[in-house]
This record gives sequence, structure tokens and C-alpha cells, in this order.
Amino acid sequence: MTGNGRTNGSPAILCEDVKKWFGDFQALTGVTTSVGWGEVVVIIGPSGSGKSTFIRCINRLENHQKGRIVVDGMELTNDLRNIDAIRREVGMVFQQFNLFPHLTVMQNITLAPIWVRNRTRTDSEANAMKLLKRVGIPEQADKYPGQLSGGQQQRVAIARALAMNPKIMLFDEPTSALDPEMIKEVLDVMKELADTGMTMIVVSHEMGFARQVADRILFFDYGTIVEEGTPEHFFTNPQHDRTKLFLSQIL
Amino acid sequence: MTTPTSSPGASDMSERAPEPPPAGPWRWMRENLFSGHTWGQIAFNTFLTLVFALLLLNILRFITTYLFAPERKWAAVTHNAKLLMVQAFPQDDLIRIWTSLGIFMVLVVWSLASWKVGGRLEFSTFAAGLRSAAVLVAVTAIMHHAAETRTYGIPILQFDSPVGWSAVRTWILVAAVLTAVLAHFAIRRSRAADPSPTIPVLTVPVMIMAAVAALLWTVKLPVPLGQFDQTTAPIAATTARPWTILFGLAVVAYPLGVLIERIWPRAFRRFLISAWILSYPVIIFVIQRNPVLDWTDMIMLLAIVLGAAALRVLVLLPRGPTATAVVMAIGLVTAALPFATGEEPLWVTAGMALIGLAILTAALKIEEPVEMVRAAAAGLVLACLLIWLIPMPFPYRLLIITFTLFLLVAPRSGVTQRGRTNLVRAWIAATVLIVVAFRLEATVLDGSSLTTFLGSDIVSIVMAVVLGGGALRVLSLLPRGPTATAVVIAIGLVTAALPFATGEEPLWVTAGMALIGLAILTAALKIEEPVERVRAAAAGLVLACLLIWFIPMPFLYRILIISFTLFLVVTPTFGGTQGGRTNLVRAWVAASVLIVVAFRLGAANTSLEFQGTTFLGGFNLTILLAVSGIALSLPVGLILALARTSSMPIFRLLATGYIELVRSVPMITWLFFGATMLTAFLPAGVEFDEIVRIVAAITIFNSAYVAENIRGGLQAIDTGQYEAARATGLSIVQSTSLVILPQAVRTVIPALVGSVIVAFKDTSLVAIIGLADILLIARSFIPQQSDPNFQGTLPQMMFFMALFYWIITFTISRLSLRYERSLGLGER
Repeated sequence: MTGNGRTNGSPAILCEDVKKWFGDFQALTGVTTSVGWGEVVVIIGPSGSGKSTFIRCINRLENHQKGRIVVDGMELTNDLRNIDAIRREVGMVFQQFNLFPHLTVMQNITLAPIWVRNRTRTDSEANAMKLLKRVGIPEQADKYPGQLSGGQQQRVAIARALAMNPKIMLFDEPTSALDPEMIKEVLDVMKELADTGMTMIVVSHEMGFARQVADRILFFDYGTIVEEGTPEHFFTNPQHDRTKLFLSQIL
Repeated sequence: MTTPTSSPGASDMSERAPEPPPAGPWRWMRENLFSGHTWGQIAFNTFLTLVFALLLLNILRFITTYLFAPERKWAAVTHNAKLLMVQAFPQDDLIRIWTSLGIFMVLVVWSLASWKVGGRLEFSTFAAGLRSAAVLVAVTAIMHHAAETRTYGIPILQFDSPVGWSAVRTWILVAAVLTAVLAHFAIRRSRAADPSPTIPVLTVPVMIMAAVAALLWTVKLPVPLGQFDQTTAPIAATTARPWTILFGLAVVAYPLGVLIERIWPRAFRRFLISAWILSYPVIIFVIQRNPVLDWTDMIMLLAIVLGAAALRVLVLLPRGPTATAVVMAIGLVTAALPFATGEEPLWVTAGMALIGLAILTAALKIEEPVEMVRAAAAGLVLACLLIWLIPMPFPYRLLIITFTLFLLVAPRSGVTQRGRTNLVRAWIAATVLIVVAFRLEATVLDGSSLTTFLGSDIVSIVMAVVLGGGALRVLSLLPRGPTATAVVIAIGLVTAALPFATGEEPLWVTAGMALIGLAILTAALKIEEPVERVRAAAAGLVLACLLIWFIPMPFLYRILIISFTLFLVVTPTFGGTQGGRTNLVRAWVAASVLIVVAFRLGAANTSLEFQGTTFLGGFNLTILLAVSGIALSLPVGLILALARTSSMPIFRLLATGYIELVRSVPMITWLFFGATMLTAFLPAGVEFDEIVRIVAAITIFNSAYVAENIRGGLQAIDTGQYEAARATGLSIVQSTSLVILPQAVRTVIPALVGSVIVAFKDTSLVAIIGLADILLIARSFIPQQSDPNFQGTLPQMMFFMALFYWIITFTISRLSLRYERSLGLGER
């Protein structure tokens, strides 16, 4: 699908020694990693470990103060043009959904394609309908977000991000604000998306999802990657003490 | 559109809630008037109920006795209706007022029909309201009877026994009781029916209007005696007939509007929006003023049309560096136009041209070697220095500069057929604009006629359009490459240098300007980011605006030119979609019309003969001040609110300072400021009409309050909304206007409606600075006029004014309540 075959030689995301401070508090203490095209990376770690800050740095909702982040061959700088270009290629799904409550589901999804990509309304709506079918709620198109359940809202949020045809998708704890029985419907959509070859970075506490879908798991603590590896390596044979402690507490 | 539809499965599975116990009058009284669990509580509540019932009845009796007392002289209201409406408006031209009101009323009714304000009302609710009203009227009639026959012991409530109302009262009583009984049975029937019948909410005001119209003709108030008979009563005329016609118009227009809405909903809505925007200038500027049209007005009209046409063409340009460059070029030229008086020092012009060139060069996304552009710039400056000695009219210079600017973008625009066409189109628009703007000004200043105008300049327009357009067309066809670049640069150098050839100013000025221009140009060459480009353009624009203030020229032209330049700057942003283009042109037309109207409003240029300083007065003035003040303060307040919450300190500081300053000073002070001091703040020779200054003062005051209300709404929006909007790729402006503002404004609609109501009521303060609004006429003109019939009728007039303000504000508040519901406020 969208993620495949659109490489220009560079990895999807390249981070070199990314550091970030909030006042005196150092949220990221030097993150170095790279994400290949089509790779699904799940980031786990205790709260306050900098997972969300890191993922928000990738589309510059937060700006890093040291180091480099290169997305799709474009380096993130203060250049607004670059940032807008990157944001067009990077979709993001938030913990709190952040749907626009004054617009219908359909309008939520078509807003950015119409205004940013200059698509016609008819085209965008046809595409939005396809996406809504893909996430399984085409019948909700004319409702407002407030009339949907949390799980449905999050699926709309995924459809909204996909409507821009992104090459990379970021998920910032997409299931943390959901009731347990709604978590599955969102994870199913994400799994299906991963199967299409989309490049994904997912901050999540869903170990089952991580084990099943992830190509690679990054374990964050103290604002940096403590350990990384394949799911088998990570769940069966963690090397680092901090990782072992974390896994023992949550599994 | 917002009614939540329950999911299909849920209603089948769930048990229905138990029916509430049947309601009845006894039950209602037991629960609301004599409630209580113990005898003590019941006794206490009963006591309270009785005391307040007595109090209410006495107040009602007081009011009825007062209203219907024979010495009340209600004819003071009806026979001065015309005075209240329009004050000094000439009697023979009253049809103008009625036409305006008719247009206004039809537009209101059609808008309500089109936007389906209020939706539908259950018939039983309507009938219940009718029943209550009828009961109230019946009780009033009985109370009136009681007041007539005996007096109660409270001294303040004692009035002389009214006479002459007995027959009327009896009829009223019979009608009220009959209505109440009929309504009661209607309620029963409609409650039994399933589904319960509904009527459009707007039927209610329409029916009230019909009822009022009927009353105007059936109730005969005592005709005043004395000097006002048929022949000598020009000023004290009643308005029963026109109002009846207007109400009739509304009653007919509503179903018609509903019908049209059903057939062509979208077109109808579009028509209404345009009609509203147009109605304001047409009513104020044409219908009520009956202007003596002269060339100045024609020129304004022409400028508006031309501007709209140019914008329409320019937005067709594909987005990108080319579009930006062309737009900047034209923007530069139009911004430079105000300097074209022939009196200004040439260095100003030259400086403007160079700055513009720098912007333009920066705007070009430089794919050709940077050195090439540098060479072009250097050569240009050199040529300017050399060809300095040929005298030439200023417009020619400007035309030539424009051509040069177009030339510079030709290589990039010439790639596609569409680009070439657009370039030529843009050139035609630009040249026509330049020449027309020049000549029109000359025409106005000299007072020349159309023939002079045509004779003098039509040739230069045609020449510029044909020659320039043709040359651009040919040059843009050249294949891109060194040869094409060389040719273009060569021609560009010569044409750009031509305008500077006068040889009147000292050479060091030229040299200095050239060096500064070169420096700016070189610095600008490094700019590649669009944001920086916009900033550079804005800087140039600000500079131009600053300079404009020092050059002699009619003020109105300056404003029009600056606003056109501002519109130009945003064409690349809004030209992306068909809707955006249409809206941009619409906005331009609206803005320019508003500007012209603001300048001309109430000016002496009218064929009407009236007393006093302005033809506006009474209800007419009140409505004008209220509508203008509110319509202007909403966008100004919006901008202030955005500025105050902006992350840029300078905007925040300015907005905060403005809001705090305005709010800490009483409104009357601002009105005096508008009436007497505003002129001192404007450049010499610029004078606005008093009405405009007062509208400005009202806007200044109200916008601060509107801004604070909207700021409250902005703060209530979760930052996640902004992040989500930015993350989907929307720009800062788009995120704010499409996501943040709609939500913020929705949140604060109740507060905004409060501001609107306050603004409407505060228009009565203009009486203090001598404008005759409806309240001043009611308060002072009528009770103090020489006719003994109306002397001392102040209480009646005040009662009527209270009713007048109450009806309007109550209507606004109810409509907004309905509107909030239709937006689903509180649900989402």
C-alpha cells in the first residue's frame, strides 16, 4: 500500500542523538535509532520515560534541541516549509483522538485532503468512504464525533490520518483512553494497517499487540532507548535489568 | 442535523421508561403552589403563594389602569410614528424608508426560512402558549373592570376610573375566553394524536405580525385635537398603512421563502448571502440617500469592478513561486500607485521600485543560477543610473517597471500553455489597473469629463495592453535556457531603466538608492523559504503604507489601493480551490463596497433636502448604528482575540493594551472621542461623516468586549485540537480558521449574544452627542413639541420605548437560543 516502494535511498526515519529539555527537565537524553520503510516499531516503557515526547518530535509537535531527525530524507529544522512537507507525509493518531467535534466524521476526514492537497470534495468524500469501510464504520459518516464510542472515534482518527496518504503513521498510545472491549477493534485496524506494509511507530502498553505485530520493540526509560530487539528477543530473553524489571511488573 | 439517531438494536432490547403520572391543573397546583410534606410546610407555601398572587394581581391592575386611563394620550405614539421612525427625513421621500424596510424585512424572513431557524414546534406547545396568553388577557380585562368599579387601599395604586373602554373590554374578554377554550381543546386533541402535529416555529412571529397589522386597523385611538389636522400635520404622520403592507409582505414572503428553499436550497442561500452584503450599501448609499451621482462615484464603482476582475484572474495562477512573483509584482505596482502624483520626490518612487524588485527576485524560486539574477539586478541598477536624463510622464515609468517585473517571471510562467495565458491575463489586468487608477485620479482632480478621460488615455491603455501582452506572450514562448535568459534580461534592463530618466534630482540620491536596492536585492536572493518571502512582502507593504501617508491623494483611494494590495498578497493562499477564488472575489467586492460606503455614508452628496446635519434619525439611525456597530465589531473583536492569544509578543501586547484601554473608559467617552477628537487623529484634509465616526467609536468599544468573549472561547479549546489539525498538515492559518475558531465561537455564542444586545441598547447613548436616535425623539422631541396634545407625554413614550427595546432584544435572545440548540451546543 502506501508505505511500499517509495524510498529515496534514505530510511523512513533517522534519529541521531536526539535530546530535548522541558525547562530543566531533560525528557530525551540522546535517542539514536532508524526506522526502515515498512517497518513496524513499537515503543514501550514506563510513564515519563520520554516515549510520547520522542514520537511527537518526529512530526515536530515538540522540537528537539540537539541531535538530528531525518524523516523521508528531509531533516527537521525550524524551516516551516520542511515541517509542513513532513507533516503531509506523516500521519498521527493521538491518545485522546482529538477529532474535531464541530465537524461530522466525513468532514473530519476530508478536511485536510481538501485544504492541504487541493482535492475536490467529491474525490475526498469517495476516498473517505473507502477509508471508513476499511476501519469498519461506513455507516457513521454523517454523525458527529460526540455521538460515537471511544473505539469508533479512534478508528475515525486513524481514517483521518490515512486520508492524507501518509508514508509513515505515528500512534501515540492509541488505546490508552479506551474501554477494554474497544481496544480490540482499534488494534485490529492497526494490525490490518501493518499488514499492508505501512511504516508505523506505535507507543503502546499493549504487549500482545507488540508481540504479534512489531518488527522491532524499543524499550524507553530515562529519555533514551534502554533496549531494543525483535519481539522474541525482547519478551523471552531481555538483557537489561531495567527491561526485566519492567516486564516482570506488567506481565 | 444534529439529532442523535439511536442505534437500531438498542430500542428493541431496552424496556420503555414508565409513563409519568398524568398531569392536570390540580396536580400542578399541588406540586407548585401548595407543596409540602407536613401541614406546616403546606401552610407556609400557601401563605407565600397567596401573598405573591395578590402582589402580582395588584401590579397587573396598576399597569392596566395606567395603560387605559383616558389621559394617557397613546395617540402621541401612533401620531408621531413617522417622527420616531425617521426624524427629519423628507416627507415626499418616505417611500425610500419603506422600500428599505421592505427589503430588510423580506431578507430577514427569507433568511429565517432558508436557515430553518428554530425548526419545528409541537402544536400543543404553541396552543398552550396561546391559552396562557388568552387567560392573561382575560384576567387583565377583568382586573381592569375591577379597577374601574372600586379602588383598593394601597394609595399608590389608586387611579381615576377609566371610561370609554367598557365595550372594547367586553369584546376583548369574550375573544380571550373563546381563544382560551379553543386552545384548550386544541391541546387535548393534538396531545392525543400520534405523532403529535408540529408547526414551524416561525409561524408564531408571522402570526403575531398579522395580528398586529389587524389591530392597527381595528383599534381606533382617540384622534388628537388641535393644530394637527389633515393639512398641517406633515411631521406627525401615522404609519399604520405602510406597516400593514410590510407585515403583509413578511407573511407572504415566508411561505414563498420556504418554497424556494425546498426547490433550490443552495442557490437560495448563496443569493441571500450576496443580497445581505449588497443590501447594506444599496439601502444606505442609494435608496435612502438618493445620491447625486458624479464621476467620483462612477470611478469608485469601476475601481471595484476592475479590482474584482483582476483578482479573479490572478487567483487562476497555479500556486507556487510564479504565482507569488506575479502577485508580488502587481502588489508592488498597486502599492506604489498612491505615489503617482508627480509631486513626490523621485527617490521615493525609485526606492519603492527597487524594494519591490527585491521582493520579486526573492519570490522567484531561483532555479536559474543565482549569479544570473544578481547580474540582472546589478545591470538594472546601472541602467537606472545611466538613463536618468529623459523626461517622461510618471505613469509611463510605472508601466514600464511593471512590464519589467512581468518579464522577470516570464521564463518560469512560460513553461506551460496555462502559465503563458495567465501571465498575459495578469499583465492586462495590471496595466489596465495602473492606467485607470492614474487617469481616474487625474480626472477627479481636474473635474474632467468622460470624453477627456477617454480621449487622453484610452490610447495608452490599448497600447500598454496590446504591446505588453503581445511581447510577454512571445517572450514566454522562448525555450528556457541561457539564450532566453539573456534576451529577457536585455529587454528587462532597458525597460526598467527607462522610468528613471528625468534628471531632476541630485545624482547622489539615485546612487544611494541604487546601492541600497542592490544590497536588499542581494540579501533577498538568499531567501528561499515561503514564510520569509511573505515576510519580505509584508515588510515592503508596510513600508509602502507608511509612505502613502505622506503623499497628497484622496484618502479613499489610498485605502482602496492598500486593501487591494492586501488582497493580492493572499491570492496564492486562497486561490487553491474554486470556492476559495469565488470567496476571495466576493470578499474584495464586499470590502471595497464597505470602504466606499463608510466614506460616503451620510455625506452631503444627496438630492434630499432635510433639516439638521444628517438625513438619518430615529429608528432608522438606531438600526443603522446597531447593525453597523455589531457587524464591524465582530470581525474586529475576532482579530483582537486572536492577537491577544497569539504567541507573538508584539501582537499580544498591542491587543492587550487596546482591550484594556478601551474597556477601562466609559462608552460615552468613546462617543465623544468619535464625535470631536477622531478628526484630530486623521491626516489633514481627511474628514469622515459624523455617523461614520460614531460607528467607528461604537466599533472600538464593542470590539474590545467581543474580543474578550471570544478569547474565553479560545482558551476553552483543548490544545490537542490544534496539534491534531497541524499534524494532518493544515497550515497555521487553516488550523485556526477551520478548527479552532469555529469551536471557540460556538462556545461563546451566549456571551456574544449578550454583547450584541448590550451594543443594541447602548446605541441610545448617541443622544448625548446630539444624534437624534429613537430614544431621544421619544424622550425629548415629542413631549416637548408645541402641540399641547403631546406635551407631557413622557411616561407614555418611555413605556412605548421600553416595549420597543424589549421586543427587539427578546427576539434576538430567543432566536439565538434556538440557533444554539440547532448547533447542538452542550451536546458536543
